[in-house]
Amino acid sequence: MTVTFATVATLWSAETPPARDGRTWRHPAELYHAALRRWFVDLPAELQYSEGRFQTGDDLRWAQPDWDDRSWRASNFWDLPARAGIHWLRFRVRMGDRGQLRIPGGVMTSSVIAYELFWDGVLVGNSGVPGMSREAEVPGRVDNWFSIPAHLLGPGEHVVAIRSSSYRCGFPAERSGIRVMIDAPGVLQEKATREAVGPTLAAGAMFMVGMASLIMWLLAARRGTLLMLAVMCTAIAAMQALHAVRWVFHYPADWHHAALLAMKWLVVVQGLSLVAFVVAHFALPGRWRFAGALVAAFAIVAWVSPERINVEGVYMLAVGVALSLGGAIWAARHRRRDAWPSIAGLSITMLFLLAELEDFRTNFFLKFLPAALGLVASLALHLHDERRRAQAAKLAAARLELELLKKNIQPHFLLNTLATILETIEQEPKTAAALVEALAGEFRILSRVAGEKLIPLGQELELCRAHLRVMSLRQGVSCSLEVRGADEHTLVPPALFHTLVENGLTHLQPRAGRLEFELTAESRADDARYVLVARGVRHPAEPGTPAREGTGLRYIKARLEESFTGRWAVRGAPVAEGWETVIEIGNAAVPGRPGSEMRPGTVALPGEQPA
Amino acid sequence: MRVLIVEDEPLLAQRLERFCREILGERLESIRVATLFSEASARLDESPIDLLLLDLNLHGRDGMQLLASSVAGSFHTVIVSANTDHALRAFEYGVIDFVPKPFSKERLAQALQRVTGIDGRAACAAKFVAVRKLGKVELVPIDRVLYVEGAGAYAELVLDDGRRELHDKTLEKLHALLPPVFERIHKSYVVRLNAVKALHAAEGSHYEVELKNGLRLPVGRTRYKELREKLG
Repeated sequence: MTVTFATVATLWSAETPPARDGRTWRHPAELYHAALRRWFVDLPAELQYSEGRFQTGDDLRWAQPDWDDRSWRASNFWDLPARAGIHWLRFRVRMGDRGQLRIPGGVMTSSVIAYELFWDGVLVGNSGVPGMSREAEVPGRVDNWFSIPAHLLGPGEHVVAIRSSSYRCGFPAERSGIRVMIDAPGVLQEKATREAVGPTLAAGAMFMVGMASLIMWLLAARRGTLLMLAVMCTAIAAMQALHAVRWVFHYPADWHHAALLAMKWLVVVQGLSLVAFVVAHFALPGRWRFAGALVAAFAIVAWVSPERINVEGVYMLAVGVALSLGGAIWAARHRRRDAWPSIAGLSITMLFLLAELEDFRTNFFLKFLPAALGLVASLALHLHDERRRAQAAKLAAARLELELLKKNIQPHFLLNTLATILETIEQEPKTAAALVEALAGEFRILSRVAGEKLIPLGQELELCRAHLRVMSLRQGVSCSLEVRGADEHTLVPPALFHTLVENGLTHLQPRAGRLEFELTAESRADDARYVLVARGVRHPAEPGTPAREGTGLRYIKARLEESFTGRWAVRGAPVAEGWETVIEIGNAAVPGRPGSEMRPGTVALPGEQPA
Repeated sequence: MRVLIVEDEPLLAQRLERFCREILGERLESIRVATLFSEASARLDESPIDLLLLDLNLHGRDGMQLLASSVAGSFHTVIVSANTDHALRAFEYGVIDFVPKPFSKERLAQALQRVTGIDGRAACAAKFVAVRKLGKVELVPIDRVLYVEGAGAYAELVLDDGRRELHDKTLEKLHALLPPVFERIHKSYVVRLNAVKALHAAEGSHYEVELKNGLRLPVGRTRYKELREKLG
């Protein structure tokens, strides 16, 4: 034995030419696929593997180090036939001398096949039991750690023989393989810890965020984005937990395919919920087209991506991130200030994904973190804006109620009416009584509707008519309101038409002793269109009259915005007979032109026409 | 007396007209009613008036401008309005009275008394004098007026910097709007008392005031005694 050692040591130190026995030697990191290389790069630099030799069949003598395997087929570690009986894979390992930093006394293997591992002819460990049929085979665990007996350690060449079968590997692929790492046992153990710690932390964190979102959705605000955030975070948490479970609980090897498949679908769910979040949060138009594009993209990815299912998952997620980024950019171009955090986060995640499209398990959480933070920041900004708007709306509602009362109890109207009553008491007492009654009538209706946000159109028309009665008596002209096609039960903001009638009275002079108003209403489902024509002689507004300030129009706009946010329009224009005002309420009424965006120049009440 | 009523409510216009006729009786030379001031003011040159009863909403800049152009006229302005919020502003601009709506005949009579009475004074003194200049109306702070000199149908304001501004009102009418510190010392002069340095009695019952800037103004014989008392 000592002689052998010495010989080998000599050969080793003399940097043996590669092929006295026809074998090639490489550091194990060069023997594996690029995506797996990270496992091997920190193995001892002196460590070298020969290429593998493969033989179908079963003979325990094949474990012996001096068995001549030169006639066996050359094979790499990932080219073992799946579900094809028992077969052997042999390779040689060269180690450095005893002066190296750490003694590679352990073997770590990762594989879904069942195998026995022989080191220099000695069985050092197994994972399950290889068998000639599915029934005969017993699955092992995915990751295993074996110790090499001390007497078999040492510099020089060693022979590793693996007897395996793969009936229960679970993967549908034709080929299977094994990852063999040789290093100090502690270093190999550490790999598992290091692999598990990130996903464990991530799973906990994402689970918390997911649950918090879900609880917020349940109890605080039933908005789709919160639910989608909950789904996305829970999917990440589940996926990370699945990844961690492998390293903590060492599940059976035949679960591994199912676990990877589950992880892939969890990533797909992430991609979908990410896109859904962006579509819903930014209210992107054509959400069905978006969904269609996503499904098509996923199908294409599934079609073209390599067989390794984790790669497919990353590709799908990348597609999801790209689509979401596109959506967020669209939103930013449409003046959504809350789009910027999403754009920043999604961009960083996209760069990370593109930099390493191969694997999604290792630093996956860190890669996805910027996107998740960006989305949460967008959501928070949006909620903040919304709360501010809601507060403003609440204030506005209180202000509107006050304004409605002020409009009618305002000194100008009331005192003028009282002054007229004084005159009529002295001159024509009957008119005085009628005027007092009309005024009381108007105030009775007003006190009924003052606190309401919406009132039936019938009540509103009653209010208009009461006002017209007062004004008819006051002005000594005949003021009338004719209504066509109105459903008295339709809800409208209080004093909506009353304000228009008031403005008409201020800015139009009677024609032949008459001031006529005509309201035409058309309603379809949720949409309504009102046209109020005031018939009279237009005159330039007397400077200083309050309507010039647009209080009437402001009141109408504020009331419509309060009840039909973004789904209304008001247009006013002079017509031959006097003035026409059109109010549209509902989605169909204002395609692509929310009321809040109307320019003051195009909207006016009588007398408010721009000079 | 020639009266113009600007009031868009026919019943209230009727009420104002009725009261004017009843209060002024034969003193009323003519009375007209208009709906808008802007309409009526255009014809003021052809048919001048002595008093404008104006229903004006003083809300906003436009309203105040309209008021300024009214008070710059040769006639007195009485505001008859339901909007009492701006009554003080109106007085500052130089209206002789502000009658809030609803109004009684007595209240209107009181306002007319300020216009027609001898030594009638505005209910509240003005702080500005509105002066028409090159078609525009300029507000001159009353604090800057040293004295006012009558010039027939006009009055000339002399300011502390020596500037002179012509006003469309007569000396009498303008004096009615000025604060009590302005005293009539002569048929052609109204002077700010605290601008007076000394009162001089010259030969031949000829009296003069000497202003702080050295300027001397004549004092009417009948007004000398009263003035001397006021100056202490």
